[in-house]
Amino acid sequence: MSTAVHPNSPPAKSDGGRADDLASARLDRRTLLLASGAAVLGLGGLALARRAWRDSTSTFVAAGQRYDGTLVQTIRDGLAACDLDTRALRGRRVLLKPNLVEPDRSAPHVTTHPAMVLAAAEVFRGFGAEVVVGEAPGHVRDTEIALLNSGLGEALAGAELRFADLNYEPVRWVKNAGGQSPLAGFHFPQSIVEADLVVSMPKMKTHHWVGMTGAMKNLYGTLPGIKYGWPKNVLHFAGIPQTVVDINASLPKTIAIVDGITCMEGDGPIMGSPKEMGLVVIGTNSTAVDATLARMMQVDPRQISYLALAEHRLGPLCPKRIEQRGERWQHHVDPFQILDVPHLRGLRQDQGEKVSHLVPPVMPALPGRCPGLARTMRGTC
Amino acid sequence: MNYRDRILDRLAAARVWGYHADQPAASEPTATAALALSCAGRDAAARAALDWLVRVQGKDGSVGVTATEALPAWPTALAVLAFAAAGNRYDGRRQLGVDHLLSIRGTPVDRNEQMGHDSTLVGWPWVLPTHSWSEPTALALLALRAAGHGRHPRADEATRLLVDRLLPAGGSNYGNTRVLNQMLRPHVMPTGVVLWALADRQAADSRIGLSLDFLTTELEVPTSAVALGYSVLALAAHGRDLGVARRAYQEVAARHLQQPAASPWKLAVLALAALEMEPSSSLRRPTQVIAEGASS
Repeated sequence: MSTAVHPNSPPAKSDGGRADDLASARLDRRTLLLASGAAVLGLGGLALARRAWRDSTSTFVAAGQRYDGTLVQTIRDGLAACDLDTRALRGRRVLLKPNLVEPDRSAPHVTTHPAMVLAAAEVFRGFGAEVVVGEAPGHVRDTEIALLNSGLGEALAGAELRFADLNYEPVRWVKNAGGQSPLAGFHFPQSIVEADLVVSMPKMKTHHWVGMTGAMKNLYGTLPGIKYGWPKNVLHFAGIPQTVVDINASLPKTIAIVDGITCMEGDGPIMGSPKEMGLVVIGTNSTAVDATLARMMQVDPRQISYLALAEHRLGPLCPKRIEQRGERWQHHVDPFQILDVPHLRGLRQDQGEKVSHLVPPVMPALPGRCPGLARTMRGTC
Repeated sequence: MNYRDRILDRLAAARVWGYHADQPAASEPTATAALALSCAGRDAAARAALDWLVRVQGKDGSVGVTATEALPAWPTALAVLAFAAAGNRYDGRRQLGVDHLLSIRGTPVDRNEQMGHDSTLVGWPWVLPTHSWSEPTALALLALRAAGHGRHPRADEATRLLVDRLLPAGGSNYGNTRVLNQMLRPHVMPTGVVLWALADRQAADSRIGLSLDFLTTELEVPTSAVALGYSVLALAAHGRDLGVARRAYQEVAARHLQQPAASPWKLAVLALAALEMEPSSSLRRPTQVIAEGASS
């Protein structure tokens, strides 16, 4: 462990784990999207793909959902509503990425519900895709107990679904396509690199440092603890908002299917309280999906530091640029409790309900905009 | 039923010790296997694992996470443990590893009210240049003790750090206690690793007993191979009754032995537990290896 070499420097002997190699090996958005905006992609190229969302992207909201309900139909409808070309998925590798950051038997609202994962797997299998479920739990390096405590292990076994233990897989270095953090690139696990489509399946939660966590932040869990630690402190040191954007920019094609049925408010993403919303939210652009989640939590998306950074780079925040499919999000706004700490006080214009069990304020600004807070988060997560 | 010998047979036969059966060798599973096989007197198999570690070890003594990933090098501590258990043949490698460990420091952070732990204490990080966390610090402390450096000032500071990171009601996690005025939850595996490292450290603190109680309680519910393994090592190192672990040990051992493609890493940790659960006068217990190193 030489101090002279940063752990996220590219390997001296690269075996080809470069972004251009990855691009040629996977689906691009042209093959996946049929949306009107995606027609721009006919000209090809990643840069144009990134621009396509500016014209239009869509987010699907389904309300009244239950874990023992018709989730398969909901997810199928949502993907169709968001213009995913499901025919292009035949024979392709789809990796479902639930959130298992810290599973606990007494707090199932911390993690993505197994029923959501099984339903999504059934849908993608129905499209002819090869489905694998993968996660690199951020706080727990004992993956076996993470699968036990979340109930996901038993569920996957019953459905004969393979689990990719992303914490320990062989890795390939991929150039940082976002350029917001000082990291030159990322060491992605083999299953991520080889996936044609990564489906972010977060739990809709508040987050005590950055306000909320959804489709974009969930993808922290694509990076292996064996390279980044438990917690992934390398990312904290490099800046949470910046690395969230960089990871999302550097991954293969991603879409989002959000578990918004039993959510978490207050001291998320681990110690918060359950909040019933009954929602499933789906979209082909994670920034737009997270902006929609934020609005339903009655949080201003532009006050979420990584969303503000992602706007104009990865996706839209403006509701005029996010076509609403399914039910209107405006009908399902239900304010989430937010911790009453200085760095979160700007999240909501109306100064809605706060949880006030906290210490007196010491930090003056939003995370990512305040070096003091960035230093604080280095010693925690 | 003698699970110990069946686990050791499987472990010795693996020849490639990775995190999962279908994966290439990795340093943590290989070092853990080497430690278990050395304790069990399976010298030929142990030597294969040890020689793999020698090949991976850098000139600066560091042992990266895999043969192709020299960074980060947090498995160095486990390699030192393996070399220490193997006897004189690997003395030079062990000392090289110790030298490297002593050159590594976690990044301290100024104390503030938002974090419960003493963030100025220096232990070991998973990855440079980041903060010190419980498990890499515990593994480094175990390595220093096994290599006869238990009285080094870094070992003393590691002890203080690990006690500081224990939760008030017992148990440890990755290394946070209270964040934004909220006490966090304990996790089994890191608690086991931390408590094993703290044995015989003369760190009188009521949270140590509470943490052992936590491990005992958690053995009552379904658990994993590595959680069980490190719990057994912690309980044994503190002289606690292992009878409470017997049912869990039998269930976990049987479950993993049934798998034709069992994880070599899990088998290795289970083997360490088996050497404590089913001791023999002809075999060394892993906790004994640490204790002997600490007293040398």
